Amino acid sequence: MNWQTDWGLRGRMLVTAGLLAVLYIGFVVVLVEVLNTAPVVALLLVGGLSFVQYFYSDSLALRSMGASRVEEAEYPDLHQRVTRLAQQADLPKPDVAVADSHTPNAFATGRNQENAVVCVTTGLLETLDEEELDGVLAHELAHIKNRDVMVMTIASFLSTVAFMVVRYGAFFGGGRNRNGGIVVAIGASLITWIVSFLLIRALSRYREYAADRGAAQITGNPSALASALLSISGKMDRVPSDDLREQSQMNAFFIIPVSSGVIGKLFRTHPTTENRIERLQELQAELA
Amino acid sequence: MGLFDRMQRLFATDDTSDDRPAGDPEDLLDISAAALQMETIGYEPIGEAALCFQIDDAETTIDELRSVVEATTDEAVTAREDTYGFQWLVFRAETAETLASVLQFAASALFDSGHREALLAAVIGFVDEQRAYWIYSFERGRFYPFVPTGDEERDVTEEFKLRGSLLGELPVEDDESAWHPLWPDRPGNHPWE
Repeated sequence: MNWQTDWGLRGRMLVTAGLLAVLYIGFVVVLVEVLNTAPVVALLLVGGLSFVQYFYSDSLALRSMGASRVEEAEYPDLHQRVTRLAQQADLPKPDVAVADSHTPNAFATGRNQENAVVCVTTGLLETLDEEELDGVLAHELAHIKNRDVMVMTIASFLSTVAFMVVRYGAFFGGGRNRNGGIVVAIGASLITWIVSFLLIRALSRYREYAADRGAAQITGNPSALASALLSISGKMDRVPSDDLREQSQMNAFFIIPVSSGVIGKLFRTHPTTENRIERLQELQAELA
Repeated sequence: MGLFDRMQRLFATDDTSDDRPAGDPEDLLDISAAALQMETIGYEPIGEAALCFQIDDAETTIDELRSVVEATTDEAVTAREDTYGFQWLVFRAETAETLASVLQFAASALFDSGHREALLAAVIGFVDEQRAYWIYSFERGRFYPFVPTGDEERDVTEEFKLRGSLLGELPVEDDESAWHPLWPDRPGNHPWE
């Protein structure tokens, strides 16, 4: 079946990515201008780390979740679902992993489509019915199809550099730069860090919508994913995962606490469940 | 004192529930009663609690605070700075009651020395099959549960259970979107490690 491209969503994604690119280019120009070659070290360091993290994203993510890859014999039904959905999505079949956790959750990771893993928690398998599970698995396969690990790694790379300069810039540049270049560099990094933080989170929210759309395309059943989101989230969806300290440092730059109102929305990595369900219902309506 | 405070809170709930002023070190004394309740559902205190704050040039403040605490109690105090640039004072003691009063004492000392704004949180640890923490946010003046599992993952189901069990003992944060975690520097560690 053929789906219309969501030009609105695609447009917003492109604008966000474009703004991020402009911001980053400006940032690098300022760094090179005021510090000459010094930032090259930071760029190489963070670049190396990012690459390692990206290359080993599958094992790092699985280990941090306490998840392990499972064989077809252990979870035959889950493997069958992933095989069928991957075929429908025109993807090589990813590895399947299960994490022992009551909290219903799923994620996909891996550096490319050939090295991807889909991981679900035991809580998810217990909570969802068959169609809902297909919806969630298809959402994760859509992330793989859209190469979101790569997209977010690239988008976050220079933001990490900016954060490093803000946090440690004074140590490195203090003595050597008598002309105050380091102050300019830290100022530019601070602006880059804050603005890129917001842009990356916006991008992340658009990628979620895109994956929901992809899931609908794969299963042809957007309502099942909507119902899965409802079963998973309930009130649990409201519990944040961003650290209190991060929150309080960001709060220092804003007058209104970030957890409330419009500013709170800018900080989310995922769109609210209500918004996602609304869009999935629109997709269901298009289908009917 | 704990009982009296709680009686007061019981009668004052309607006034304070909506618009509670920022944190009060006295709230930390409620931890003793909370620990008893935690034991009835199988959680033992791990004998450690911590204060988290951010003060520029914190060394003198921390040294003063540590010497005062060590002079008044026999309990061990350690200090460290985490990767976020926040300072932690970690207290070790046998009973939750002692930990509660040491936390209250140290937090009051920081309040009195003008570092009220710098105080972020107080944390006390419990253990059953997994570790569970109660975090007190000085900004909001309320407690919330935190059950980390692995790296940047939390057991929300367990947290909701704990919230339900301790509603009567602690001023619990009822807006879950403010239950911000304090991720340990390494998975499996305490938030203050």
